[in-house]
Amino acid sequence: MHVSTHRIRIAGAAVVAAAITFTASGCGSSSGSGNGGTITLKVTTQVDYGYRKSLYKEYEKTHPGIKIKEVLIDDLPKKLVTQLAAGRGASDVVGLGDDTITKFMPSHDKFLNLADYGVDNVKDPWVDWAYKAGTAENGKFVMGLRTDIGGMGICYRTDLFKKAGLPTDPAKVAALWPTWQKFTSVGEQFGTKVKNASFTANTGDVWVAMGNQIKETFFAESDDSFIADKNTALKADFMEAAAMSVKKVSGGYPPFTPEMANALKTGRTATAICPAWKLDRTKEASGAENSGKWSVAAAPLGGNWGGSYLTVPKQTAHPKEAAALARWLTASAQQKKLFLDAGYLSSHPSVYNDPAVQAKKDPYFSNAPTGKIFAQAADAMKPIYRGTKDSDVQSAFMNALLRVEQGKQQPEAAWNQAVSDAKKAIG
Amino acid sequence: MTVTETRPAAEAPEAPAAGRSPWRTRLSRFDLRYTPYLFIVPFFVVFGFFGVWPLLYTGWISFHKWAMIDGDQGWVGLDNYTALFKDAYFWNALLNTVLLFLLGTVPQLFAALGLAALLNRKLRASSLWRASVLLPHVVSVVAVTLVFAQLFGHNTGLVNDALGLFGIDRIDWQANRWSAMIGISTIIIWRYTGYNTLIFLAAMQSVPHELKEAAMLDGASRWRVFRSITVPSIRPTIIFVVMMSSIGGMQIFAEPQLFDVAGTDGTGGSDRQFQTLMMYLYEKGFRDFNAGYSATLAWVMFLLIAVVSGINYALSRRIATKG
Repeated sequence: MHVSTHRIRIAGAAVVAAAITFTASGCGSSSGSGNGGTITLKVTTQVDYGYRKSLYKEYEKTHPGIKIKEVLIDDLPKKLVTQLAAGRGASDVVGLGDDTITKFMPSHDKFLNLADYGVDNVKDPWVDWAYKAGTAENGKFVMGLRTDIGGMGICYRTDLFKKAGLPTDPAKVAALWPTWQKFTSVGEQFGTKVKNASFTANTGDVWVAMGNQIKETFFAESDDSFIADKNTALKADFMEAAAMSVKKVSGGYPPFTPEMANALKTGRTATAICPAWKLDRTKEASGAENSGKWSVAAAPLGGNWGGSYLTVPKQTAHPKEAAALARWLTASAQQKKLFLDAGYLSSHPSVYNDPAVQAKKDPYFSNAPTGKIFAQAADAMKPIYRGTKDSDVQSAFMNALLRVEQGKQQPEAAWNQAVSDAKKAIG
Repeated sequence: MTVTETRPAAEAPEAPAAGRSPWRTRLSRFDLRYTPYLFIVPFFVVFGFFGVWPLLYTGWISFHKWAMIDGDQGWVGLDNYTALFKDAYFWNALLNTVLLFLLGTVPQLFAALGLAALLNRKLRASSLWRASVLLPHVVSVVAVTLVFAQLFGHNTGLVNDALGLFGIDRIDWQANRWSAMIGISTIIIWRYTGYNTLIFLAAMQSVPHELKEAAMLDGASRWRVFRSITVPSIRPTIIFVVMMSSIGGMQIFAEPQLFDVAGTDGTGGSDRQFQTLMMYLYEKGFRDFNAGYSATLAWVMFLLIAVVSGINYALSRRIATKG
């Protein structure tokens, strides 16, 4: 162990030396602490967290001597892993999604323990489950500060619902689908009336939503062992999602693809799974011409999907300043602003229960009470457990649903292959 | 006779010179003999540092259970290698890589050779044509692949729209091995043909015109001239391009990876139907953080590429001499 880390350090030092010779030749490098006491903090996230609009500028104004530089990296986890191994290159503040932070949890010693910088959940107001999922060593090690949460909703097209003879009021729509089974049967009913659009976009998104509604999915909370093969609740969810493909309730537009964006824009799907942070994306994909055609209702069984953490890699040159920035960006006042501006749901109950937040309505989504819908979902949320290898096995199940969607496999066979693929992935 | 007599005379100037300064002679001899090595040393130092050392270090890692972040977890000997050869995903990835090589790289090389022959003839605005064949290679591979992935989209892709005009049902290109291979090969051919065309063209320009003219006068057809004069004359270039393309083809990554609807999170289709060796390496190393297994795969790929390049070297030598 010692030998190897030493070796890596030597390698790292060599790379550093090479980098220095290159940058010294006059590319005008702007690393870490500049002159005149100005500190530049680099913030790296995978997607836009909504900070650049005004929050960075505000922080720079109120904290003289600090400059913030934001870098978006599409495959952040893959880059971060090499930066942590090499001991250099990581940004001062790094955003990690709730599904990726678990992957880095076993290596939490490569990050700052933010508890050492005055963070705890007694005086800080995070909703308990969201705060805990960012900690290690039974809560003693605070690795990440929760930014937003993703209270779950369903976006739906009111024009298509009307055509199918379904209600369009958010409360009545939510009442149509107390469970996913009901969701499917509404979809079948929809399919008999409307021919040129599918009821929901894809089964992958449905599956992820479902996975956020049961306590244990692939791994046991007690010892992180693989339990997907004997988890009957999980299998029932899988079969239900797969049934949506078989019954043609799903249109098979794969998640996060141009195909999906196009389906949203052209009205080829009547619903899409919409956690809070997805509203902005749905809006962007559907375009201004569809303003007022969409609405949002509560999802079957509520729950949470997504949300992120801000972490500070230990290798930062400015631990104190980086921790302070992470703390500030995730504080109540900023979280409230982010919700009102960009729709990112706060992870602080004091914020999402705030009357101004609850009263928030979005004309693009037919003035549906999004603030209330998402806050209710977040409040009703029960803590879930995610294994450290959760994201490694998830793709086996996503692939399985895709195979059913592509007509390559029957649901039962797809499930069996998913389980064996997942076992193989965790070795 | 005169010759033998002049010999000592020729040697004569050397003797006093050696007597004058033995240092200088030794220095100049050193200069002649070793300075060329000194000039190429920097390359080998850099190559050793960034080429050989990482290669050997990767080999060292492959004999360990090695986590990406936390490093060495213990010596396992050849365990990674035996596991790899029993790994069905590995053989699947190897098959896909070979198929993509046959469907993408091989036709691409022939197309480049043909295009180069066409561009080598007298054309109006020839530099414009020559420059434009390189354009696809200048555009970033990510941009090219994303555009192609949209063209080959299932529900909204233009390719399916075009096929629809002929009454062909929409194809889910990513869903099956063959359709995916066709899609990815198209990207490979699009991207690399122009690049190789220019290399071939440069070589063809140095083929003496007299040879061709003589053959033409003897009544040889254009095809015959191409086969019997042009191709054999540019044999070294053909060998070079075939070698480089084999190495590139065996390492093909960005095109198939981004063809996947799940992007960099994808495993090359829902059933790994178009996952290449490099993609599997990426999955193991950077998704599962299993550096030991990834290093093993890297070494096996290195050996495979050496073998494939060797075979192609032999093949291209033969084909070129036969003409």
